[in-house]
Amino acid sequence: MKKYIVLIISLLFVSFSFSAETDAVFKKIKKEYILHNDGSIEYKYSKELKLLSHYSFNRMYGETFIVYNPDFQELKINQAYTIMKNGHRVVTPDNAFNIVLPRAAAAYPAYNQMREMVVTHTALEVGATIFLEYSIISKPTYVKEMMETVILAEDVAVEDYEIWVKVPRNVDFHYSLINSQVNAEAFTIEEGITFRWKFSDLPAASHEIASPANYETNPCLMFSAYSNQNEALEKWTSTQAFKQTPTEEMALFVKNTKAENKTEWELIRALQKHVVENVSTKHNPLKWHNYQIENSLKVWNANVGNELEKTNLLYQLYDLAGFKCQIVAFMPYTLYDAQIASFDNFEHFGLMISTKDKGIKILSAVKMNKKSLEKEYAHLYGFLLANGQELATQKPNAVPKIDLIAKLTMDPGNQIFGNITAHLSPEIFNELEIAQDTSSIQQYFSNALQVDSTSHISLLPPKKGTSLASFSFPIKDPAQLEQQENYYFFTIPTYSKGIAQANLKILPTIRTAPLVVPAIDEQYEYIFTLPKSANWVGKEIHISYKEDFGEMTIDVGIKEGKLVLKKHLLIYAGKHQLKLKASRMNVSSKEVETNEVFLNKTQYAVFRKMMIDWYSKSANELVFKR
Amino acid sequence: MKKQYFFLILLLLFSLGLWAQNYTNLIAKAGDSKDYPKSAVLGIFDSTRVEMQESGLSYYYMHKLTKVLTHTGAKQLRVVKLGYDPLSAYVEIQKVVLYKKSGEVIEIENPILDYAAPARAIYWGAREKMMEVGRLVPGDAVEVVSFKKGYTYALLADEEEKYIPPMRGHFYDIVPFWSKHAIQEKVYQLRTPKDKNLQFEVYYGELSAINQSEDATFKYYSFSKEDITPAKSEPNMVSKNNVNTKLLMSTSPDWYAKGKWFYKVNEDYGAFDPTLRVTRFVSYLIRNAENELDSISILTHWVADNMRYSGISIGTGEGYTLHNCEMNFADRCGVCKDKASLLISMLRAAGFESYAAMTMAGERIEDIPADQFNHSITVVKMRNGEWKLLDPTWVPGVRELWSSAEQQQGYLMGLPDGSDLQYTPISPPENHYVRMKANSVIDEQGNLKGSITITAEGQSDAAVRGVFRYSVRTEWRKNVEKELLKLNPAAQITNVEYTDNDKYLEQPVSISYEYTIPNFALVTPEEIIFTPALAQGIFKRAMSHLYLKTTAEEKEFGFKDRCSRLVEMEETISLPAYKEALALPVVEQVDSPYVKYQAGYSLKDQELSFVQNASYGKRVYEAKEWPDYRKAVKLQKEMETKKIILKK
Repeated sequence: MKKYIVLIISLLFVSFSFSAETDAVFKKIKKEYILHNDGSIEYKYSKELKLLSHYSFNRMYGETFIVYNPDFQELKINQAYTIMKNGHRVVTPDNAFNIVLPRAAAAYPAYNQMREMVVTHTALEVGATIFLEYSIISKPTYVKEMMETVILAEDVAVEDYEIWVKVPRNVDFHYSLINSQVNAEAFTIEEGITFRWKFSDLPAASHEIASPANYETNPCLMFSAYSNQNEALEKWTSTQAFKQTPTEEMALFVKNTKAENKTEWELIRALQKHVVENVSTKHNPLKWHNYQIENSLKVWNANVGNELEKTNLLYQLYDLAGFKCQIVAFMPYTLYDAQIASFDNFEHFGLMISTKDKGIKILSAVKMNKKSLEKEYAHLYGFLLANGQELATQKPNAVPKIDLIAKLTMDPGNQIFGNITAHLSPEIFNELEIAQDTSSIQQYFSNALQVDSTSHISLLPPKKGTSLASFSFPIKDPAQLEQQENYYFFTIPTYSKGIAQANLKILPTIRTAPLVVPAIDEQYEYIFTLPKSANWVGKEIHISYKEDFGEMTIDVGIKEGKLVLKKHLLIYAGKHQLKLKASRMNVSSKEVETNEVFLNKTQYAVFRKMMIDWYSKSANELVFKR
Repeated sequence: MKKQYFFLILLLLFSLGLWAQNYTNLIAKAGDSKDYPKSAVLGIFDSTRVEMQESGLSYYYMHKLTKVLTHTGAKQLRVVKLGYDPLSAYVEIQKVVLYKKSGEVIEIENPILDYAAPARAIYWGAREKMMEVGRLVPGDAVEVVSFKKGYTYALLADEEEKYIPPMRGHFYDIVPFWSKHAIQEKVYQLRTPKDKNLQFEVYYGELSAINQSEDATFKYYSFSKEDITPAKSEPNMVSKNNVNTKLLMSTSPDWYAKGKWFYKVNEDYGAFDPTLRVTRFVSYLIRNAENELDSISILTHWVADNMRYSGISIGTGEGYTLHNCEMNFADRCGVCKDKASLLISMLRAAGFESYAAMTMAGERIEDIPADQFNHSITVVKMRNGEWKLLDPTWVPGVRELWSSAEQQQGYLMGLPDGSDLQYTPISPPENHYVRMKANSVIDEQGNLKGSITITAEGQSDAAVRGVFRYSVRTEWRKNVEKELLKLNPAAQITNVEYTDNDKYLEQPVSISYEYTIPNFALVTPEEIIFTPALAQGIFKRAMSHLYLKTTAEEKEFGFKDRCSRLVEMEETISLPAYKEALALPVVEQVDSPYVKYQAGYSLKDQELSFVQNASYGKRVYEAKEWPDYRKAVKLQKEMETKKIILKK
C-alpha cells in the first residue's frame, strides 16, 4: 500500500511540475502524406493539444492557420472541437472557420487566389484540449512529384508524433531523417509502400536567443519522389517560367540605364538597384504556387515579385545588358542532400555575375548587398540553381577577421588624436559599399572616433598573400573623453560587425539549447601615449582562455611607457557534413567548415565567462587622471 | 456651391470623353518630385460626392487623379484597392485610367479581384476589391473613379436595406483633410434631405472653402482644401488625426442620442441577458467576495484572462452588436465589445447595473457626435451611484480594472437615457509606482555584494511583469536573470525571489535579488571609482520615458508616454576605507506641474546613499511640456554614467 501511495504522490508531483514548467503539451501530432498514382497528393494533419496556461491560448494556440491554393488544392476540415477541463465537448462552430487572404499575398495579384483558413478554436481554457484534423488534397500540377521537409519542432513538447508517407510501388522514393535515431517502419501493400515514423516525447523548440535553427537540433525528415536534387532542379529550371521574355520596354530601360552609368560596375549596380528598390518584394513561400514562378515579363509588368521571381527578372535585365550570369540558390548545409530534392529548403537566391573589375560577385535582387552573397550567406550552402553545381567562389573555411591597431595620443587639451589601421577580411568587410565610399566604414564602429577633418579614410593596397582590406584612419577627436573633475574616461571603439553583431553580451547562467556563436578572429590593439601631465588610472589585466572551440586574450597595462590595451577573440570555424553524391548506392559526404559553431552546455559556461571579460569595463574603458 | 457645379460639369465632360487631354495637361503642369520632395505621389485632385437618403443610406461617388512622383510612389499605385464589409457596404471600382508620362492614355481593363481581406484577430468577413495597374514610372498618373454605398455596420438583411446605417436616418462622416502625401485639391460634397440637420466642424486648421445651400428637397454642403502638404511626424506624437485638419459631420443631435441608440440596439438584441449557466458560474466565482469592488474585480479579471481576443462574426449586425452571453461564454473568444458584453452579463448576474460604453483608444474624440470610436468597454454602477469604467480587453494580467494606459481618453456610456461624452481622469503617478531599493557593500577589491528589491503597481506592475507575460514560462527565470545582467553581465545571483505571476491579483509584483558583481568598482592604490547599481538602471522596461527620443529640444505637437508613473530609487552602499570624495555627482531638479525629478548622493562616513525620484504625471502631454519632460529624462540618463570617485 505504502508503495502505491509513494507512486501516486510521485505521479502527482510529476504532473504538477510538468504543468508548472510548460504552457501546453501536444498529446499527439500526426502528419500523413499520400502520393496517388495519378500524381495527386493528400496531406492529412491532426493534432491533440492540451492547454496548461492562459498564455497558451491567449498568445500561442488560439487559432490554426492553414494556407492553401484553391487553384489546385482542396481543403477539408475533418473535425474540430475542444474538450473542456470538465470533459464537455464543444464542437467548433461554423463561424469560427474563416477564409482570408494570406498577408504575404496582399497587393499581389498573381497570388490573389491564395487562401488562408483561420480556425478559431473556441471554448479554450486552462485544462482544455484542442482537437483538429484536416486534409489538403493537391491535384497534380507543375511540379508533380512529392517532396517535403518536415521539421519536428513545436513551441511546446510533443508526447506522440507520427509521420506516415504512402507512395505507389513504382516511385523512386528517397528519405532522410536527421537528428533522430528513429527508424522507419515500412509496410508493403497492394497499392504501394507505407513508411511510418513514430516519435515520443519530443522536447519543445528552443526559445533561447542564438539557438540553432530547429533543423539543426530537432528531428527533421526530408523525403522526395524525385530521383535526386539535380534532376529535380534541371526539370524545374527548364520550365517556361525560367525562360527569358525580353520586351522592347525592358530593352529600352536597359539602354537608358547604360547611358546613365559610365562603368560596367555602375551599370550592374544600377540595374540591381532598380529591381531591389523599385519592384515590390513579397515573401511568399514558393510552395504556394507549387514552385511555379511568374516569369520575368509578368514580374516586370506587375512590378512585384518574390525573391526568386525578382532574381529571374534581374537575370533578364543583365542578359539584355550583355552580362553573363547564373541564378544561385542558398540552402542550409544540414538540409542539403544531393539525393533528396526538397525545394522547401531554399533560403535565398542571387545572381552570379562575372565582372571585369571586381571578378565574380553574387548579387541579390531583394537588397543592395554590401558584400557578395556567398560571404553574406556563408552559413548556407550555395549552388547553381540550374544544375546544383557547387559554387567555386564559396570558401567555407572562412573565419572573418578583424585586426585593428590604434596609436593614439591624448594632447594637453584632452583631445584624442593619432591613427587607426584596420584590416578586415572579405567576410566581414562590406566590400561593395565601403570600396565605393571609404568613410562609410565609420558607421560600423561603436564609439567611433572622429576622423581628422583635414584628412580622409583611405583604403590601402592589399598586402601580398592576404585578402584583407586595410584602412587607415587619421583621428582628431575633441569630444571622445568624458570628464568628471580631473578624471577622463575613454571607451574604446570596436567594430560592430564582429562578435558584437551576435548580441551575446547578456547570457543567463542557465541554458538548455546549444549556443550558436559566429566564427571570428577579432583583435584590437590600442596604444596610448599619454602626456606627462596625465596618468592611467587602472589595474593591469592579463586574461587568457584556450578552449576547444576558440581562444581569447585580454591584456591591459603599461608597455614601454605606453598604455596598451589588447583584446583578441578567436572562435574556430564550425563543421558541417555536406551530402553531395547523388546515387542510391553511393552516398558520400564531405566535411565543410562553416562560419558558426554550436557550443554545448560545458562550452557555453566557459564562453559566457569569456563574454563577461570581453565586455567588462576594465577591458573597454580607460581612465586617465590629470 | 461653385465647387459642386464644377464637379458635376467635370463628370459630364468626363462622360463625353473630353477630359483625357485636359487631364494630360493637368498632370504635366502638376509638378514633380522637385516640387514635392516629401511626397512619393501627388494627389492632383481627390473628390468625394455623397448623397444621403432619408433612411441614412449614403451613396459615395469618388474620383481621384494621382501622379507618380517617385519609384516608391509607383509601387504604391501599382494596384487600386478598396476595402468593404459586404454585410453593410458595397463598393465598385468603376474606372481606372492610366496617363502615361509619354502622353498615352490607357483605360485599364484588368479583372477586378474581389476577395476576403487579410486578417488577424478580427474575422468578420471584411473584403477587398482590387484592380492591377501594374508597372508605373515617375510622371505617370492614375485616375480612379469608384463608388460606395453603405455604412460600416449592417442592420437588416434586405439587399438595399442592409446598407442603411444602424442609427437609422442618420449620417456621419470623418473626413481627413490631411495626407501622407501632397494633394493639390481635395473636395468633399454632401447632399442631405432637407429635413436633416447636419452639424459639422473643422478641426485643427482651416479649409479653403465651405459652402452651404439648399433647394426645395435637399441641402448641399461643399468643403474643399487646396495645397495640402504631407503631414508632419514627430516621435511619440499624439495621433495625426488630432493635429491635422479634419472635418467632422453628424446628423445625430447630440451624444445622448448616440448613447441611447447604443443602449437600445444591444438591449433589443438581448446581448447582456445572463444565462442560467453563467448566473451559476458567477455565483461560484464571487462566493468569497467580501465587498462590491471585490466582486467587480473577480468578474472583470476572469473575463480579461479567460476570454481570448479573437473576433468571430455573428453575421448581420456584427461590428456594433455585442455578442450575447450564451455565445460569449461558450466561445470564450471575441473582440473588445464581446469581452465587455460578457462582463456586463456577469455583473448583471451578480446583481449589478451595468452597460456597455464606447471609447477611442489612441485618439481624442472631438465634440461632434460622429462615430469616433474604436473600442468598447463596460460601465458598472457602484452602490454610491457612481459609474465605474471596466476594460476587460486591456487588463489581462494587469492589476487594474480600467487600464490607466487609457487615461485622458474620451468615452460614451450606452445608458438607457443616454449620456454625454466624458473623459477619463488622469491617473496619479502614485498608482503606478515602481520602487527599487538596494543595499550594497563594496569591498576593498571593488567587488560588490548586494540586494535589490523591485516592487511596482498599476501599469508599472504590468511592465515589470513583462518578464513573465510575454514569454513562455520556461523562459521566466532566465528573463528575471537577464534584467540583472543588463545592469552588469558579470552579476551572479545568489538568491532570487519573485511573486507568483499566476496569482497577480494577490499582491503587487515584487522581485528580490541577492547578488554579487566581481570588480564592480575600479579600485587602484589611490582611488575607488564606480556608478551605483540603481543609478545605472535596472528594469528599464518599467520606465518607458527612458526610451523616448530626447534629441529634439522642442516639439510642435503633443506627445504621449505609456502611462503616468512614479519612480523611486533608494540605494545604500557600504564603502571600503577612503579619505575623501573627489567626485560626487550633483544634478539639477525638475519641478513642473506634471514632471518632477530629483536625484542625489549623500555620503556619511562609510555609507553612500543614492536617491532618485521621478514623477511623470499623465499620459498625454502638450508640446509646451516637452522641455521639462525631456530635461527629466536626460538627467536620469546622465545619472546612468556619472561616477563616484573616492580618494583612498
